[in-house]
Amino acid sequence: MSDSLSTLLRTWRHQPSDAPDFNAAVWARIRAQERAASMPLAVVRSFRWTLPLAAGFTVIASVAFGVGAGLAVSRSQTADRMAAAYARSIDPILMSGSDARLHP
Amino acid sequence: MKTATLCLAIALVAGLASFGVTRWLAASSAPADEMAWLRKEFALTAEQAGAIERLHEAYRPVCTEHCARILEARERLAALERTDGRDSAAYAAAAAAMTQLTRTCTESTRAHLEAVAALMSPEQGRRYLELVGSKVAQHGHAEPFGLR
Repeated sequence: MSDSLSTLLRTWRHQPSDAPDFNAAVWARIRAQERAASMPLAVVRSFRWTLPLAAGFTVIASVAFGVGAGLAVSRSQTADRMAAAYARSIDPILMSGSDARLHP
Repeated sequence: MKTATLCLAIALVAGLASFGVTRWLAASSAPADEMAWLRKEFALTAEQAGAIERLHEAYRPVCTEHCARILEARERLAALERTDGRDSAAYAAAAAAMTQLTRTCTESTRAHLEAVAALMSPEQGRRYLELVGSKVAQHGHAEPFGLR
């Protein structure tokens, strides 16, 4: 029984027939991949005219942010400095500190 | 890609330059004195500014006197430390007098700040006390300044 099975297995050959649409299916998949890959580029190309606008907007936004941050920092520092100077002008303890002088 | 990087670099430089120029312009237009700053910072009306200026003028001699007394007490303490030492009774008495004087000055400054704040709108008064109160020496932080 086992000898006949061994003989059968030794002599058995599988010969699948060619799939008739194999090549077409592979090429279809390649083309689909290429189409998917080129989609964002196509979108970018179709909106190419907006790129200078986006660049301009980025620069303007950056300038606006710089001005806003500059104003905020300056305002905060000025308030802090002036509040300290004002406090020194009305507080005799601060006024008579190490570098204190009497009122003019 | 190269264009995008260049664009971002230009935006970054423009942002930094505008920050620097704004800071420079703001520094050159800083308030001339404390009263000008008060007017601007706390949006004082002419009446409020006038009343606060009068209050400051009235407080100035008090402040001057306190300042002179503190300097005098400090000199006395330093002299006693040199002659009698820190453990002497005279030094302890002078130190106690100094503590009392400091308390008097703090109370006086506090009263002045609250009087000034009372002349402002409630919101600005609160802001004034927060901003200036934190700069004033030795006020009890456990007892924040408040509007009367």
